[in-house]
Amino acid sequence: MPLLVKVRSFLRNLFLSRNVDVDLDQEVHSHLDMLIEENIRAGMPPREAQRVARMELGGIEQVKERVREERIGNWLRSAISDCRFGVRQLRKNPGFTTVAILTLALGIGANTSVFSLIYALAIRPLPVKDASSLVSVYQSFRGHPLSRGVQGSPYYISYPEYVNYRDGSQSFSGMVAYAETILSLGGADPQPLPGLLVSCNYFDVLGAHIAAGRALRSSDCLASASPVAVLSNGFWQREFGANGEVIGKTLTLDNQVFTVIGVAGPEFPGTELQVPSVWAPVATASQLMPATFGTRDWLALGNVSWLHVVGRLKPGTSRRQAETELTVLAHNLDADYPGRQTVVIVNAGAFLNNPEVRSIGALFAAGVFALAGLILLMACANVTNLILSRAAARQQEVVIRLALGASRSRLVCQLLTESVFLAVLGGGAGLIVAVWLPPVLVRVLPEIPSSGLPLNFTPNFAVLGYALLASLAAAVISGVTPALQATKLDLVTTLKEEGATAGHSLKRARLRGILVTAEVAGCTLLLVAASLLARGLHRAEMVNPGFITRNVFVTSFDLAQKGYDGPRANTFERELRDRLVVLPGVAGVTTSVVLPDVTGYISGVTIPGRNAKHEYAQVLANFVSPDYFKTMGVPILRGHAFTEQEAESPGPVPAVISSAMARRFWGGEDPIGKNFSAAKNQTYQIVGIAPDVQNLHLGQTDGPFYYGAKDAGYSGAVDAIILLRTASDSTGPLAAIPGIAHQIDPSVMVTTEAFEQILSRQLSPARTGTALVGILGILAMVLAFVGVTGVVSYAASQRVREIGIRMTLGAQPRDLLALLLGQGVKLVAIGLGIGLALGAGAAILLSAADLLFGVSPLDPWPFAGTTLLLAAIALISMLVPARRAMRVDPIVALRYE
Amino acid sequence: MSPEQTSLLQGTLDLLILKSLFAGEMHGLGISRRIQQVTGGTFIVQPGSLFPALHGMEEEGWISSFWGESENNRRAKYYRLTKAGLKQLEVETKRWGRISWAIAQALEAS
Repeated sequence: MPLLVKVRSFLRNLFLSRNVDVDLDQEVHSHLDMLIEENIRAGMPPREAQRVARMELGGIEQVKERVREERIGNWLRSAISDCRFGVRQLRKNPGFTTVAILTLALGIGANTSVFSLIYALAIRPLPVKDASSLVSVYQSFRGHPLSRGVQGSPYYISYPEYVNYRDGSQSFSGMVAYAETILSLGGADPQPLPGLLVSCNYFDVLGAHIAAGRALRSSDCLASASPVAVLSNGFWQREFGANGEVIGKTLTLDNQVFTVIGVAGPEFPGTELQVPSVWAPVATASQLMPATFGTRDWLALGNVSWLHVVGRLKPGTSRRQAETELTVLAHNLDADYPGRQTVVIVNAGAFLNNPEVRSIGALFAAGVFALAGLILLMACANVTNLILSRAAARQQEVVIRLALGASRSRLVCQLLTESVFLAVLGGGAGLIVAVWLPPVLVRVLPEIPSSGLPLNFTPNFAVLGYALLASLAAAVISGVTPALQATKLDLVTTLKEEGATAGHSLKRARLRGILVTAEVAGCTLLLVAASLLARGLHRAEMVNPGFITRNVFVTSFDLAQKGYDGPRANTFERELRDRLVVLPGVAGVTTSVVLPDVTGYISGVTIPGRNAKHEYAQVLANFVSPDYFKTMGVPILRGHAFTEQEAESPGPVPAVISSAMARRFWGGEDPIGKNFSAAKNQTYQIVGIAPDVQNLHLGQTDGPFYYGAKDAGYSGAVDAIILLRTASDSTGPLAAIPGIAHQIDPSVMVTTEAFEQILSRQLSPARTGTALVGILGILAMVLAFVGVTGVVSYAASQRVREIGIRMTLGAQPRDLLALLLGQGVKLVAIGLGIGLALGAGAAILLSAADLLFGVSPLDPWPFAGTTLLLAAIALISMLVPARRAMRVDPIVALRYE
Repeated sequence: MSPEQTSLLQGTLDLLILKSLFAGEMHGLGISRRIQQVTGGTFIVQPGSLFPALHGMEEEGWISSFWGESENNRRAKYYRLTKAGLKQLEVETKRWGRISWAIAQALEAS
């Protein structure tokens, strides 16, 4: 009952405040009248009676104000009036407000974008029906070291393990398994096609909508079933023009004829970031997957990780319960592998849920969050700075309000309200950034498909909540210190004279100094990192790796998936080379196992007759056909490149070694004719020496390296590439490659791409990353610029009188300038010093992460350049307010205040 | 009013108002005069303290108000005790009894 009364009073005070006030006014007046009447009855003359009554009442307005303060909901009323006042203040200073809001928008926007990206990748449920009950199942193993086959991730699951979980568990209403693969779509020129081999309950368990035809059913997964496929909606539209009569037609995938039985709905992108074009039954793995682990019957492989498993939990079952149940089931199979102990990991369903990816992702996220947090902190520091410099101008207002009896907490609330306003407005603008930025950011991530991502970046409650949280944090970080400082006044000193001389403003100046120093340091760090990265990129693009990249084209095949073994692949390649090299305009054709600077091969080398323990070394290698050196323009310094005859003759495999390898193993001796053994005890005989080039990383000269004759020296050679160099810039011979390849084997999928384009694409995440760091750096520079200007102009405005005195006493402009700039220069210099030190640390980290492409982390140019740039900017930002201060007329200055 | 009286008053004003209204409904001036009278003039409640206290107690639901006619046919705002107010009066009386007993004990102790 009293609660009801309170609520009623609260609402009445809030919404009927005028009535309440009128009522109070009447009450106080009636009280006054009664007092007067009382006095008259006591025998006072009317005038006297009125005077005494008013004295007893003690001021009508004061009484009313005291009642108002007592009322329930008074805090809300004052909050509302704070808001009104805050809005007025902000509107009065549009420049300040705009800068502060933009600054905060960038800081909050950057943070929210990172959160939104991580949310879309790792938290948001998969875009399928009832996604909240979906979980992903992974395995890891404890116990003795295992030899387990891995296709994809070691956390994946084998088919027998999947069947064991699916059939034995009670926690799931359904469980699906699938493997990602690249298929080749048959036709005149086979094309690569992302495909998913799925268990036949895939569409039912995920509740996928089928637009036409039917989904897979369990009979499709029988060994005897004829191969069928379900098309993705996008593929159906691209390839078949959304023709409804596609059902029943056939597709040739990896030489196998598939009947199209259905088309998925447009809103079903599947369960992986790479949206597949076709779904085929997992039973077809024996035709579609290569014989990587000795057999093509993948479903029978018990100790190979290759399947993703996704389950739908029954209502009321927790992930932990499911994990426990599956771990018990896993022991059934552990019995077949003595010493093995399976640990089942059940993660919530999201795109990135593999424990392996998650641990890398967590590191990456921490790094990006740190960067975004740095920007937000800088933005806050700047807003703090802006508020502080304005606080100086508002000091009189604060002092007067304090003197009139406003409580300090009330004033702090008032000042904080303004910060909250700024931050919320900044957060609102930041949301625009957060809608636009994540799709850009996602491109920086490694191993993410370049287009058609099924990611949803629409801000939801979590993202909005995060933005709000970041905004409030920004409000508190940027607002509390100036609010406390502004109200911590010694009233007497401040009121008596200029507040500028009071001790608190010294403290304020020190705080602003620290902020500016931090800003300069942060901005220096970012600029150093960005310019180092840019130099690295430039070097990676411009560097001469020691071999020719221009006019070189890379052709690759899917021989492994077509069931080729090593010798058959060698024959295919030799035949293709022979047919290509005679084409007009072709300068050279070669087979290579390694695509330089994209892939790599490491081989353990020992020298016969020497102590294996001491002389064993891991060196880089490539296996090539004899024409490699001519095609790629790698000169032979001594000896000769091996010939076809040498490569084919029995006995040691001919090899060309790099100068570094010659020095490493033979020192002063002549290595030509010497033997070494590598790659499963194969013996190689050295026939020539090539210069050291950059085969592993662009911009970084290789250590010891050898080139072995491919056909003889590399037995698993089913995934080699053909490198073709044209004589001029003409791309004429390229068009002929698929046709010639198909003359040899019409089923083989051929893709050809310019080498330079592959190299350049490889740099694109680095390029985007560099651009981002650069943009952040420039942003930080703008922030620091504003900060430095603020500090100097504030200091100058505080010393107008001093300047006037000095001018009258004959101080030269140069002395005055030194006086005004002294403090700013000190702050910038300290900030620069700290920033350069941090930059050197960051550079060493970047270099360790192979992001600098051979540029030394302590390369003087980025450091010198950043220093010069910042010094110049700082000088300009200090000179402008300082010169303005010096132009003041001494007489005016002395009369100031 | 001396400072000691003020601070004492702040703790006990609610109690004094409740007690006054226990005798019957009353307007502000009436309450003020009654307190002055029953305390033998020790407490003179100024309108600046009285009105905030009255409005606060009304919002607490201890007293309710209505407009009525004064003894001299003036429009005046009257206050009366509610059920909750009656209960509050008991609580406050007990509390005050405990306090005054404790203070008395403390003063006698030495």
